[in-house]
Amino acid sequence: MAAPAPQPPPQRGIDPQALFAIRDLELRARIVVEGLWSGLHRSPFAGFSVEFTEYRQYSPGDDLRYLDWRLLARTDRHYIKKFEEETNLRCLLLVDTSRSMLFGSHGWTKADYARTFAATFAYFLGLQHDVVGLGLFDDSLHDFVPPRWKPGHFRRLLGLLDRPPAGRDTQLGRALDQVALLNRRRSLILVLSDFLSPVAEWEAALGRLVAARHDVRAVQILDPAEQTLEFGSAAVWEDMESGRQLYIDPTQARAAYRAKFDAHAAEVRTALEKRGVTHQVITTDQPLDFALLELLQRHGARRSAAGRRIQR
Amino acid sequence: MNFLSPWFLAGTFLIAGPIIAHLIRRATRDRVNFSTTRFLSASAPRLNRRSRIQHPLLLALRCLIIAVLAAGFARPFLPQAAKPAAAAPVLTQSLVVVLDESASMQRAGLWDAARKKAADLAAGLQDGDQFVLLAAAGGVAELVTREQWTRTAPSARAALVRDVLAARQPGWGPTHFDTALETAVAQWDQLGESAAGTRRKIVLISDFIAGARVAGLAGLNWPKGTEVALESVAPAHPGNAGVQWLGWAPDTGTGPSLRVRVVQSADSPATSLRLQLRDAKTNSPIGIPQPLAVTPGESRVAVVPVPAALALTPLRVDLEGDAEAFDNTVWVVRAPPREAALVYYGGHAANDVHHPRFYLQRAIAGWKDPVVHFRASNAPAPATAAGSEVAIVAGPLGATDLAALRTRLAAGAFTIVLLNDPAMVGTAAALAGESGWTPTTPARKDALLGQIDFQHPLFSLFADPRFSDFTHVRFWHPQSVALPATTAVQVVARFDEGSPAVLEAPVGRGRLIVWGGDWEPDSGQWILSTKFVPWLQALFERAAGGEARPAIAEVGDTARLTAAGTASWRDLAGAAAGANGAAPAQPGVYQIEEGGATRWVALETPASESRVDPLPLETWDQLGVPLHATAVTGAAPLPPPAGAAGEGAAEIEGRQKLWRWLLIGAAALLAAESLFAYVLGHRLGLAPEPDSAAAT
Repeated sequence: MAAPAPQPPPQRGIDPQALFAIRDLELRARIVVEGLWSGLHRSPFAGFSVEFTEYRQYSPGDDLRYLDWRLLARTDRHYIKKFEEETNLRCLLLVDTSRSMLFGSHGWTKADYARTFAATFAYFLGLQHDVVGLGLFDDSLHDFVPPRWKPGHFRRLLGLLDRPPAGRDTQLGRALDQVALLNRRRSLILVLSDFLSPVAEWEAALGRLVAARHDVRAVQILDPAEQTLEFGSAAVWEDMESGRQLYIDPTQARAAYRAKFDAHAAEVRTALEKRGVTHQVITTDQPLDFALLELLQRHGARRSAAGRRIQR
Repeated sequence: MNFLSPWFLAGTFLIAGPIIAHLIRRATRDRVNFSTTRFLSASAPRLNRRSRIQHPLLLALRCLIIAVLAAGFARPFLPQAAKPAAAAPVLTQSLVVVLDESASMQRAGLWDAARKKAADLAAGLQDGDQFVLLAAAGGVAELVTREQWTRTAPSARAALVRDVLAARQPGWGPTHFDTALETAVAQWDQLGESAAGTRRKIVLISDFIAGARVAGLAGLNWPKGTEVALESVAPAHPGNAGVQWLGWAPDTGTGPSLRVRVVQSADSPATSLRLQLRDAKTNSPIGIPQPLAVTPGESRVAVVPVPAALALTPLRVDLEGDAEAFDNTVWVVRAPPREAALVYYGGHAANDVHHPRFYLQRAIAGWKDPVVHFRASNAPAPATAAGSEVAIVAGPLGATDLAALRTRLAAGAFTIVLLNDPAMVGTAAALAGESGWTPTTPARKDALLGQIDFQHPLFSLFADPRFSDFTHVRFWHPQSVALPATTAVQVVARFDEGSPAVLEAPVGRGRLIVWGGDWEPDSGQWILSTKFVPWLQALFERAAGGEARPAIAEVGDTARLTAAGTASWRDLAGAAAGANGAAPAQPGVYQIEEGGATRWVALETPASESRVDPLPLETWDQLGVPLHATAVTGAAPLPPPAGAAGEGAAEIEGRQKLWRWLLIGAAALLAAESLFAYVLGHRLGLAPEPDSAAAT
C-alpha cells in the first residue's frame, strides 16, 4: 500500500482575534502587509503602476523577466525593458460606516474589519507610491478624501478611519452617486460594505459608476452569524439600523432566515456580475491577510483576463 | 409577643408585591442587537400557564424577608412578669425642680399652675427618692434642700413642699434659665454622688417666654446622663402689653419729656392702650392720658411730656388697657445735674488769648455732667456754693487767697498751680504745706512729657495705646521742682530729661496738682492739644466724686447704682427697703443714702419680661440642652424607674432588642434569596437550547 502523498501544510493567516486586539490601526495595517508580502511571489500590481520607458542592453545578473524576447527574436540582441514607476493608479476606498456594520459576534465588528481592511490596503498601495483616497458613507457620503500622494496623507486616512461611526442607516446608492460626482477621474473603487440593503437601492448607481469607466470592486464583509444565524437566544431582536423590534427565537427562525439571506446574496452577486464588478465575500472570522491576498490575486487574474480581451 | 410600634406591621401588606410579580408571566427583557431584521420573521413566543406561580420557593423567601423586616421595625418584645424584688436592683429617682419666679410669672393663672406642678412632682415620689426645689428669678434660691427633704419624714415631705410653695410669690426679677440650670446641674451632681444608680432628672417649670436669657446654656457642661424636662404653664389670658423705660428725650426747649417703649406680644388682643403720667408719691395723674395704638407683635416709642416744675420729682408712667399689670408701670426719677466751679487765679482778662483763662472758659462750655461755672478769683462768690471746685492758680497769690485756697483744698477742692515762674514753686509748696521745694529749670527749652504714669487718675484716661502719644505736645518754657527727700508729693509725669513735670499731692480731702510750666499758648502746646479738654473734664469728674451713677436700673441689675454695700435704701414712705443694704427686689422709686448724700433712684421691671411670646423649642436643641424625651406631666407621677414592677414596654423592648435579631435574620434571608435567584437565573440563562444543541 502506497504511502499517501505529503500534503502541503495548511495556510495559517494572522489570527483575527490577535489582530483586532491591537488598538492601533496603523500597526494592524503594517502587520497584515508584512504577512502579505511573504505570501506574494511578485506584486500583482507590477506592470499596473509602472510603465515601460526605454531599452537598455542586457548585462549578466539582470532579471530575465524583463528581457524583451520579441526583440531578441527579431534582432538577436539582448535588451532589457526598463520601467519607470508612475502614480497613475488612483484607488478610492469606499467604507460603509452605517449602523449595521457595528454588528459583531466575535468580539470585533464588521466595521472594525472593514476599517482594518481599508487601512491595510491603503498602506499596501502607499508602499508602491500609488495614490489612495477614502470615502466614508452611511446614508450619504459624509467624509471624502480624494486620492492624492503627499506626506501625511496616509495618516489622514487613518484618522478618518479611526473616527467613531456616527451610526445611521445605509443608502449605498446615494453614496455611489456622490462618489461619481466627486471623483471624475478614472479610478479603482473598492466598496467595503455588508451589502445588506436592498439591491434595487444601489444597483442603478453602481451601473452609473461603472459606466463612468471606473474599475469598481465590491468587498462584501459579513459576520458568520449573519450567514448562519447561529447566534443569540430567544429574545427581542432589534434592527440596528431601523430600530425595528421582533421577538425572535433563532431556533425557529433559522431556516427561513437562511433562505431569505441566501436569496439576497444571490441577488447581490447577480447584480454585481451583471455590471462586471468583482464580488468578494469575506467573513469577519477569516484572516485578514488571506482576504487581502485573495483580492490581489483576483485583481491579477482580472487584469490578465482584461489584457486577453484587449489582445483579442 | 407584643410590639412597641405595631403600626409597622402594616408593612406586611407589601408581601402582595412579590406574589403579584410571580403570578405575572415574565415578559422577556433580553434584547439582542442584530445588523438587520429584514430577513427575519417574528417567532411565536412560548407561553407559560398564567395560573402557575413561578419559582414558589423564591417567592416564599421574598415574602419571608418582608414579613421579618416588618416585624423588626415593629420592635417586638416578650412581656415578662415582674422580676422578684431580690433580683431587681433597687433604684430611686432624684428630681431637681426649678420653679421660675420671674416677673412674667405674675400673669394670671401661671403661678398657681406652676406651684401645683411642683407639688405634684414631690407628691409622686417614693420614700427613697431625692428632691430639691429651686426658685429662679435672676438669681437662684433653694426652697427645699436635699437635707431638708431627707430630714423630713416621707409622709410629711409633700406637705413640706406645699407649705414652702404656699409662702412664695413670683418676684420681679428677670428670667435667667442659664443661671437656673447651671445651679440645678450642680445640685444634680450632688444628688448623683449621694445615690449612685439613681435616675436623675431636672424639671424646669416656667412660662418659657422669649425674653428669657438662655445664652449661657451654650457653654454649659452637661454631666453624662443629665435629663432636662420642660414643664410649661399657660397664662389665663393670652398676650401682654408692657411699657419700658428708654430715657429722657433731648431737651428741645419745650420742656423735659421722657421716652418709653410700649410693646405688644404677638398674641395680644388688640386693645386701646393709654399712657398716664402720675406723681409717684401721691399717684395723682399729671395731665390727660395719652392714647396709643400698637399692633400686636410690634412696639412703639412714645414721648411723654413732663411739666418743668415736676422734672426732678419722682414720677411713674402707667400703661392702661392691659390685663397683665406686672410690666405696666415705669418709675421715673431724674437726678439733678452735678455742679462744679472753676475758680481762676491770675487776674487775666477774659478775652486775652495769651493766657489760659480765655481757653478754659471755652473748654468748659456746654458740659452736661458736671456743669461747670467759671469764676475769676476776684469776682464775688455765689450765694450757694457749687458741689465741687477746681481752682487754677496762674499767678502769684496773696496771703488771704493762699489761706482761703488751702482751706478749700482741705475741704475737698482740687487746685492746679501752674509753674509759670520760679516764684510759683513757693506758692505750690505753701499750698502743699511743705517746705524745701526748689525751683529748677530744665536745660532743654523744647521739652516733652517723657515719662507719664498712666495708672494715675490724672492720666489714666490716656492709658490706651491709641491715645498715649504725647510726643506732639511740646513745652517751650518748662519749669520744674526739686523736691525734698520726704514729701507727700507724687510725680505723675516727668519731662523727657527726667525732671518732674506734673505733681500731685493730697491736701486734706482735696488734691493739689502742680504743672511744670504755663498753659498759655506761647509757653507750650498743651492747652491747644486735643488731649486738654478730655483731661480737664476727667479732672472735674474726679473732683465731683467720679463718674455719674445712673438713676434708673432694672430690678436685679442695681450694681451700678451704688458703691457695693455702702448705701441704705428707703422707699417713698421713708421706710427702709432692701435687706442688709441690698437693693430692693421690687420696682419702684427709692431714696439712696450714700456717703452723706441722698438721691432718688428708680427700679424697673426687667424689659425682657415683657417679651412673653413663647420661646421656640428649637432653641433648646440648638443650645445642646439634653431634653427628656417626654415631658413629665405635672398631674401624673413620674414613670416608675426601670426594673421595678410594672416596667414600661419601652424599657423591656430596649433590654431585649429582638429587632436586632430580626434584622440579622432578614439580612441572612436576603443573602439566601440573592444566591438562589442567581443560581436560578444562571441555570435558566445558560441552559443549552434543545434545538441548537441538536444542530451542533
